[in-house]
Amino acid sequence: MNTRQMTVRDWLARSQSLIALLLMVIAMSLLSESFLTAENGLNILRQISVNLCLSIGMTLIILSGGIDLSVGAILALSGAVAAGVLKNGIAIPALDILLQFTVPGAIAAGILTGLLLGWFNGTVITRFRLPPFVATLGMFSIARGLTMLWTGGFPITGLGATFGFIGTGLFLGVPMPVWIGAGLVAVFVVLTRKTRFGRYLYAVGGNERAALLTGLRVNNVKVWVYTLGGGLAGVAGLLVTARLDSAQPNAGLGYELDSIAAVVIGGTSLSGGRGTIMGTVLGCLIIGVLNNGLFLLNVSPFWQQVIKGFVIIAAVAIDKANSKSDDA
Amino acid sequence: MPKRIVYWLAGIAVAAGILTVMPLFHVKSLESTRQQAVAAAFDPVAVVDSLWAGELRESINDATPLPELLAALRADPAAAAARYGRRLGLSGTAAYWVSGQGVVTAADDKAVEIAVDGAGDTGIVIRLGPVFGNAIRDGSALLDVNDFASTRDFNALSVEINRRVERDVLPDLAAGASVDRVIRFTGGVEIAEGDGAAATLEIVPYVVAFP
Amino acid sequence: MNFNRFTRRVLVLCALAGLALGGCSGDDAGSGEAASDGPKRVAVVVSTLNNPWFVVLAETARDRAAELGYEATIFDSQNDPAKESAHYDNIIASGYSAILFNPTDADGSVANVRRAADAGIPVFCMDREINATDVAVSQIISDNYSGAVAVGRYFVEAVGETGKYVELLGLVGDNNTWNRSTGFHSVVDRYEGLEMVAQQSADFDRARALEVLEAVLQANPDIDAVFAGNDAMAMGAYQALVAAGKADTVKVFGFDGADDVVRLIAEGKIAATAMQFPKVMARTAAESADRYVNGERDFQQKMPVAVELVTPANVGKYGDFGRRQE
Repeated sequence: MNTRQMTVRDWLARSQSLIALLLMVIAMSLLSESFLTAENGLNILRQISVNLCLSIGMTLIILSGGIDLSVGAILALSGAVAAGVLKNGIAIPALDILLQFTVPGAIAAGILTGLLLGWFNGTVITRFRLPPFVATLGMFSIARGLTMLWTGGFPITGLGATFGFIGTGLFLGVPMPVWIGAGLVAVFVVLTRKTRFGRYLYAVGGNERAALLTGLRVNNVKVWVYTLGGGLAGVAGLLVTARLDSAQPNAGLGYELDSIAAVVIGGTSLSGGRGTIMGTVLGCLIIGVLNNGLFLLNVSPFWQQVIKGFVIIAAVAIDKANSKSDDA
Repeated sequence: MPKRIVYWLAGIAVAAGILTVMPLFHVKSLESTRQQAVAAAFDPVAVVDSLWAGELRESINDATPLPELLAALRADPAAAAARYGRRLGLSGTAAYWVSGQGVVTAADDKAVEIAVDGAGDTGIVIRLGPVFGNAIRDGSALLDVNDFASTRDFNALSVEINRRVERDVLPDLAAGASVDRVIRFTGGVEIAEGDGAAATLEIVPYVVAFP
Repeated sequence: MNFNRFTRRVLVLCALAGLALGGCSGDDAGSGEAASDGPKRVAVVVSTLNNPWFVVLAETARDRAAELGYEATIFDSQNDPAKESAHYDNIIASGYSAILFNPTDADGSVANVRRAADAGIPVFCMDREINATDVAVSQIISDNYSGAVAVGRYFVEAVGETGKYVELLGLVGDNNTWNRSTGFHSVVDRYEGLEMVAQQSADFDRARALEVLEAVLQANPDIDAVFAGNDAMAMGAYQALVAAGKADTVKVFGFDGADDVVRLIAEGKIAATAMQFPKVMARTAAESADRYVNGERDFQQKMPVAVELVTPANVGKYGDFGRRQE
């Protein structure tokens, strides 16, 4: 009985987002000629792909009952590390050698940085029992500082066309970031729905105490979740760096808020245990369509921010009402 | 358990295979990379060296004689600037390539003042000491800002040209200048808009001779 | 129970959507897209609107484009190349006829301009250059280096060949910061008597410059001059000196040609600044775009705009971000 109610509510949460998205798409296409074109559609998909990577990771983290405020900072540092090792290599003066990284090497370095930082987050949260808010706030500052140190405050530019391909290239007419985003969505939908790890995740997020009592290695799950979140932030960092052909020391500022917004709008509960990857995809789409549509209508970008704020509030209010009926 | 070990070994083998075909990094000598980087960077010295010995030398004869320029400036500054001067983009200042002959009226370790034949009341000064500005670079009309990737490189050329003037031209001038000596020079001068009828013009010399 | 709530929520969402529809169509009915009929559109992409100098640049460009018959919109990149890239995405997809561009990064912005060029949209750079000569149609840039050389030469004249000074740098990652600093040092470093006792970044910000100079004055109370990388910082530095009672003994040099500093130069309180000409650059860019749209193709790739030294001697000629008669 309980599982049935949960899936019905999940479906409700998901349909609300879907309905909102459909309404917006209809409204925008009526108001603007250039909205409903293939080029604009691909534009929207490309623009949400970075947020999508971050939001997938954020979904997992929020599902586990936690939060991660450092994803934007991890994005910046991963992108900077990848760009740095690709452009300048790593010099080891003691041995008089230079490790000149290749493009796959730089990509690996960037993702590894993200995984490492995420792992650090997870370890601090589980080992020292710090609230995720505090631990990731600390990591935010650490990662920002490290990015500044690594780049010296300057952007790292001129990374070459091969590296740039993952950000700007087209495959079968569709931008590479969209393919990467879609691939990640597929992987993580399978992870959350079909694997044991996914079930553990929902259990930990839904009721951590109960999960612990049934013998689940809750800490293990949490560390994995933050590590994956960090790795996904690393991928996002690579996408941003490749797209701009430069690693900016201030990349990703404010991205954590956008990813939390997408997760929340997509129907995931901030208290954990409820939500889906597809819901997050919808959340990203809603934000993307909103931004793009308002741009095409010449609405000031500052109004876009205001409207986005209202949408977040509305989504969370609906989510709260959902969870109230949960207890009832 | 053994199955796990098999999977791990297989994974490592595959990874090793991929890494040999598509390595993550190459190991290079630090020194040789550094030398390569230095060689690839923009070298203003090379550009100025070839200019100094080549095209600048050839353009000595194209220099406008000072009396002609001054007369034109007094008559119609705007037309004179358009005809004889070279502006860098949209600037209020124009640079000129001039030559003149005259007599030294004063010489100390700061500057050499010259009374140029036919220059009328306008005093001509060549400053000794550090050289700044773009008088020769822009006045000679031999270097085009569009040929360089960044204006930083273009400005580095001015610095190098000025350095050459300090090193190759000014010492001879300082040594040879004495009051009442006849002097001939070719060089660049920058004149701001509206300063056409100025009392003194500062020349940055390319070549100086005491005939 | 659940379905009632569900229906209610759908109605709320419909209401919101209706409001959005109503609000938007009220403002923008007819305006916005349709590049086929209606006036041609020009995008003004500016690096930041947080600094009045850039506001003047952007608004002059917009106004001149409007005078020439285009519909011009200003896009603020907020000093972020990622936002700038997103603006370019949207601009390329919406059929603009030209872009008047103030880059955030000389290297990083090249990719964006290339995309626009590939899409057939001409780009005209204003004030800052990009390190490529084959993608923008024309670059109308401020010759910050030579302007700083002029400031440096006046500095030596005004302060003498011996003395101590402090340098306030702008944003460390900004090309202009280094163009100005390098130009200044190319002159001042030739005089060994002039000693730089401190060099700190104040991020082109007035309040930060005040804090930084106050802190520096604690460690170095006997300075003779301050060189600030822009006028906002020069104002902040001046205020710090007034507070420390040193405004009469320490000379302040700025860069930009902002109104408040020009006024103080006229009053003899600030020693000098260098006037950049945002209005000239913006107008030239808009006019070049217009000529391009009307078929002309012969443009100088780089058009440096000289930066002129403003001192108490010639301050009468300047005001309002340009020469007085403008």
